[in-house]
Amino acid sequence: MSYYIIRNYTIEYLFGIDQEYSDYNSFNPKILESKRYEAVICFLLPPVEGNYEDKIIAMSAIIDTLNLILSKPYNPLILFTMPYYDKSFHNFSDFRLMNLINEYNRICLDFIADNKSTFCFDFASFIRQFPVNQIVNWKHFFMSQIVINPRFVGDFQNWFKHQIDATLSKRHKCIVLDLDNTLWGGVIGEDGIEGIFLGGSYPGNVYEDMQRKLLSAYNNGIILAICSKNNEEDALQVINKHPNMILRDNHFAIKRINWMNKADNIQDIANTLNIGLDSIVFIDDNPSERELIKNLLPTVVVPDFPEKLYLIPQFIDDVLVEYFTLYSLTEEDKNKTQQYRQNAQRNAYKDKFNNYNQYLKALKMVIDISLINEIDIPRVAQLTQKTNQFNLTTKRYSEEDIRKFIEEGNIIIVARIKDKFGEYGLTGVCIIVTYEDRATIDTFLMSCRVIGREIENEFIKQIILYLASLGYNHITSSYIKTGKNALVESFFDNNGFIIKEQSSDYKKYDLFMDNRIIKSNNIVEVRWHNEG
Amino acid sequence: MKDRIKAIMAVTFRVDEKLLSDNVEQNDIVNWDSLAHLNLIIALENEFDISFEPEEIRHMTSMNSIIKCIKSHKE
Repeated sequence: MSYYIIRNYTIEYLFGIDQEYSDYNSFNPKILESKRYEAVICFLLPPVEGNYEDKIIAMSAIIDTLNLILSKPYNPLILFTMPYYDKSFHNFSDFRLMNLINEYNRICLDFIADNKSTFCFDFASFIRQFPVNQIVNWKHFFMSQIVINPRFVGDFQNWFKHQIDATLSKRHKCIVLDLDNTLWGGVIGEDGIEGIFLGGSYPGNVYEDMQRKLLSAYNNGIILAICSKNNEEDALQVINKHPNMILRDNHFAIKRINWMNKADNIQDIANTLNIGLDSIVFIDDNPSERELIKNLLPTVVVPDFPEKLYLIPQFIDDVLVEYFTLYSLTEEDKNKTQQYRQNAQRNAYKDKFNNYNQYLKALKMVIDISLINEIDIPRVAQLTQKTNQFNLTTKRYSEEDIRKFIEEGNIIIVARIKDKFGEYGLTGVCIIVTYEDRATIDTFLMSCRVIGREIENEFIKQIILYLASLGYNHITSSYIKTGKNALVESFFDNNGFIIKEQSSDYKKYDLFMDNRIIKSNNIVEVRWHNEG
Repeated sequence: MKDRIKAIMAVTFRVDEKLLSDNVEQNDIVNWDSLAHLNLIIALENEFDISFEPEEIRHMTSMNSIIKCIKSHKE
């Protein structure tokens, strides 16, 4: 299990490649509904580019981002406090930037005081141990958007591990479940799918109820796994087909249904999920199986299964509470006043951004679109060379190739993006090959720094509209699968293109203008510069 | 020095150290993308206590060029 980290600068070197990272300066709240992360971490750093006034503006926007995160807190959520190390020129009695950073930290601390499973890691204190003129590494900043000096990476990792151990480590991660007489009543191999008890009246309702409790565990990010001695076919028949089954195949991260010894299977489950045996809780009605695990895998938690089957649902709840609840470190610190204030504040967050589109609009994104210019050619070639993820066809071109496209009368459109945080420069390219009234999108790519905020959808819409205005009524395009571009697998599908041909490696699309109304989404401001 | 570099590469690119040849190049390793390259440079800077220049970083895409670059700093 990994962390999802909301960030505004490059931080992959601190946490490693196994984590998932948000786009720069923005994140999609839908991602946070997936419940598949061990925790969501909000690690926003104070702005370093530009002058003092630029930083004030950017910092206000960062506080907006924080408020959006807190309006729908993930469970568990980790907030990093924000250090102050600014050295830019400003009036010595002007404390606006420091005030904004203090406000950011105050919002974090107030929030954790009243919210379970929310933690603050005091990153500001961690940074304070280093001299202020060593904190930012300008070479890595201008090359790779890295702020915190990579020299600190070892210290950072020790500090972070220590923080995690102190907060999340008591939480177990995975429930390994037996099937017969545990998830349902009876033995599937003997009683058959009609003979087992599941749903309906007693005793089937007991098992249905316990499955509902496990479903809520799943929805709270707890991993479910199966370890059962059965014919896999028989068991899968129940899981996939039984009408009263609450937990289905997709709820189980891993299934070991075979006749091998359960200790080996559980060890294998731990290895496959890359979690420790000490984060596993094993549920089985059979005392001899429980005894085996207790002896062979002593760090696995093996609770006693109730003898009365009507006590099973309560037993599951007890297990969930005991092994899977997170306690906020500051729970004791709560007091009434704070609670009242918090409640008021939370409503304010909700009002401020009651939907994601409003949040996006507040980013004040602008897309400047134009035909390619001579000076753009090196950048366009470079983007085709190095863009992997948001790249529909991943065709690599040299500067000469790009020139040839232009000479042959094809269309290359480029997009420059900016938002209230700053300018991202030329980050979108579309190469269109034309033939009679047909236009073929040969290449469509965008830099990962700007995607996930509707910009990519607006860009393709603008291209379609532009081609239509030139009289191209038939647009074709394709998606060519690579190891890295799964992100855009459905991009054309989502933008109104119709699949004409498809295999596991590619999709080909058509779009006919005559039956299509395309509207701008009005989130991104579009500016065309047609002089090219 | 080669062994120290290989050890860093193995961790950075998640590959078995034994599979790294003495003249390994960026094209040989699937995981050696731009982000991994950055992590590699940072790990090398920390390991050898060097700060590479941007022009060097762009060219450090093979074992040979990395060694050459580190040696030029150590002289």
